Amino acid sequence: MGRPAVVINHRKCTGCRICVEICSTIHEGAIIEKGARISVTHEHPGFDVVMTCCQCSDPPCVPVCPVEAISFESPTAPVLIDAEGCIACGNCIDVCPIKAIWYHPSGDYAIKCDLCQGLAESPQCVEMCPSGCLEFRDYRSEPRQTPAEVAESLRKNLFAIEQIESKEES
Amino acid sequence: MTTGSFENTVSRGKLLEVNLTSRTDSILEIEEKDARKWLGGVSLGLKILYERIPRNADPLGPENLLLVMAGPLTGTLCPGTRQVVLHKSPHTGLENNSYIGGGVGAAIKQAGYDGIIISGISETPVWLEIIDQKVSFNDASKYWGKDAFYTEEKLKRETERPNAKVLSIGQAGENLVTYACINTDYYSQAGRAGTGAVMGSKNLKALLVEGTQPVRHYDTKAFIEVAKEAHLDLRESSGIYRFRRWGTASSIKWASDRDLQPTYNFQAGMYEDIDKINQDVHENEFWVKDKACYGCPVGCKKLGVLKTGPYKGTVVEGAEYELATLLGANCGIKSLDLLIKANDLVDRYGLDGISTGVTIGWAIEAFKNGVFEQDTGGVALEWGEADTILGLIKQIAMQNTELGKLLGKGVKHAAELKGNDSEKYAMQVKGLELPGWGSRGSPSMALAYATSDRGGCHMRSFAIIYDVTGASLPNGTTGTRWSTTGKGEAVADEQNKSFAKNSLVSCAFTGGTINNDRFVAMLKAGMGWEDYTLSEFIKTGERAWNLARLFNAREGISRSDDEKLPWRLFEDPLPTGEAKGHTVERKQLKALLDEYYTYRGWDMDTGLPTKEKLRELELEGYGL
Repeated sequence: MGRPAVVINHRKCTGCRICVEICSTIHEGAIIEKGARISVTHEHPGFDVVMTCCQCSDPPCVPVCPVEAISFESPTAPVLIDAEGCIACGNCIDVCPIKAIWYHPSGDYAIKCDLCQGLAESPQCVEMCPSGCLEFRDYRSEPRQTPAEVAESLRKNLFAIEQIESKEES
Repeated sequence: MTTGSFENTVSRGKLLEVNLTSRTDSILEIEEKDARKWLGGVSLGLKILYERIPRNADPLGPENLLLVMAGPLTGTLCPGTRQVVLHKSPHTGLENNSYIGGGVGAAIKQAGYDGIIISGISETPVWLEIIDQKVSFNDASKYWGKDAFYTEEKLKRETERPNAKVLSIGQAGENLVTYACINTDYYSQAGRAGTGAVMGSKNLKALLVEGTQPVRHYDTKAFIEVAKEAHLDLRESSGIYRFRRWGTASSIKWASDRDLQPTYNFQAGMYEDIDKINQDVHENEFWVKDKACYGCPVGCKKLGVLKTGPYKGTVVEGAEYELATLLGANCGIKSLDLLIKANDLVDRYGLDGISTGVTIGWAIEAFKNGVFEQDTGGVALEWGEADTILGLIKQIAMQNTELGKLLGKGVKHAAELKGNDSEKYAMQVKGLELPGWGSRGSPSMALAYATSDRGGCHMRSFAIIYDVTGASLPNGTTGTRWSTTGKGEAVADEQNKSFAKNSLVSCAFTGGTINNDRFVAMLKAGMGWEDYTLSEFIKTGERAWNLARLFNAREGISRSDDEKLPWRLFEDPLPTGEAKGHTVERKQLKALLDEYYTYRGWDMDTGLPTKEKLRELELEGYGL
């Protein structure tokens, strides 16, 4: 048993950003891209990389927090940031191996996926994801690739293109 | 909702105007009563075009406006919303409203606006950056002459904004080809009637927009609830399944089998080589990924890469149905490789795939009929040949040969210039090249083309469904393939509904599946209009349709223009297939038009809205 998490199959993302819309609406009451706890980055030549916290079994963000604002209740519970306690030092953002933590648009505290705890019965991004890219399950909760690494490998895999700069057609 | 307050609504209540002549920007506030009467998108856009563009204005001159309009539901959890580009068309001389996928509308909303109005003309090539309230004018000389894909990618890199939305033109727009298009998200286009030429005439190479302003709902909980129901409608629909799986390419085989697919410049309606370019070939050999527009659960865009062959490494979304038909079957293309390379070139150079395919089809037929042997520099034009098709695309975009300059005017003007009976097979209505749906096999579709606001366009009423698939008519009956009764009403009714949805702005595919009541419910929850009704919503569509007619009437359009279809449709019967021997019958078209004008409350002789109709639609002051 590890921590259940939002598990991502990058190949299936269509770039629709419905996850971003619903996440920010649930958490912020409005659609605001940087208020979502999940990110989608558009990449050339036309695919998207989605990223959110994988709820590591041994989360490196917890020990680097100087005010103990990041915690989990049990080995199977999500890793949560206490917005009230957070001093926005950025240590957790720097240490996260998959770049899944960032500042709230106010700049006052860090945010990350909380699995919609206390807001909805299940992670809403998973409920609304139309492509099967996002699933909520207990899998190996280990950080693997950063969005940039995912982009690089997807690009090679999908397009067999090493050179990512556009060539102009003349 | 309090009057004049858009704090907590899905609409912003604001338009951004950028004047390229004076390099200034300003905000236009929208009054709440106007937000409710006009909604947004095509409806609000046409109001601005009608009020601000004088009669006979030069479409490529400083009086023309380029509008990029979102709508109240664009960029919300409503599935499948888009954006629309409006202007007076340099290709037809009429108003144009051209829809575009991707996410630029959502970005405009997030930047704090319901739409952007570009006015004036820049002296030198410029690209615009709009980040929330900040508008900056940047020198575009290093991008001028470059294709649209290149420009978009470099701008995102230069600004370090990978998620910004970019509208850009390729060489065709710079060279003022009157059917040049605007590109976004690399592979989506505001394709028709010269959006890119208007942008090029303003010396505007690109527009980049990104924002951080939260989009709110009047009643968030209620909005999410309806939006989720609409998402479920789409998930369960079998009609949507085919879009999800094959995109619009799902129609390639279907159309050919029903004698509806323009082939060899509309000489026939079924393509004997269809299985070389149909959706199965795309799915099995080309596509690597489904792609979606902003907020859309369908994902009808199919991204592919050519893994082998002469064009190995070509990456493009497509081919969608229209391009596969008009550059494919209509130009006699018999291989996926060539079709995809043609798709790549028209997208990069920024040409409308429909008008380009129809124009090249006409050119090949005209060449074979000896109309312009001298103009090709001694090179034969051949159906399905790479040199012909790719060569003509390049010449049209670059405007570097006499033939390219001729074809860059579109088939109406090219045929008028060359004569020799080539007008007979110039496949256009009101100057706009016909899309990939035959009308000799579908009388209702002939009426849809005759009455479409911008000429040869299938996106206002896809009336084929009343003839071929037996969709029920507004009068409660079902017609046969060749019947006409009730179909004039059906076309008008569908045009009104499509313009209502185009005011939101809803995609035609998702909007055709989601019940209109859900849109009304989302407007209530999003805007706080508790007494808003379905009839009010549809009336906005009818009002916009009438306003488009008034704009075009001011430029000289009347009933006699609606009666003009290409000679081939009236006189040249389909040679093969289910509809073999059929043409569009003039008598039938007249009967359909009579029923259509009657249903619309338009004058039977002039085909224009009556005073009573304008009063009913609260369009007093917009008469002729």
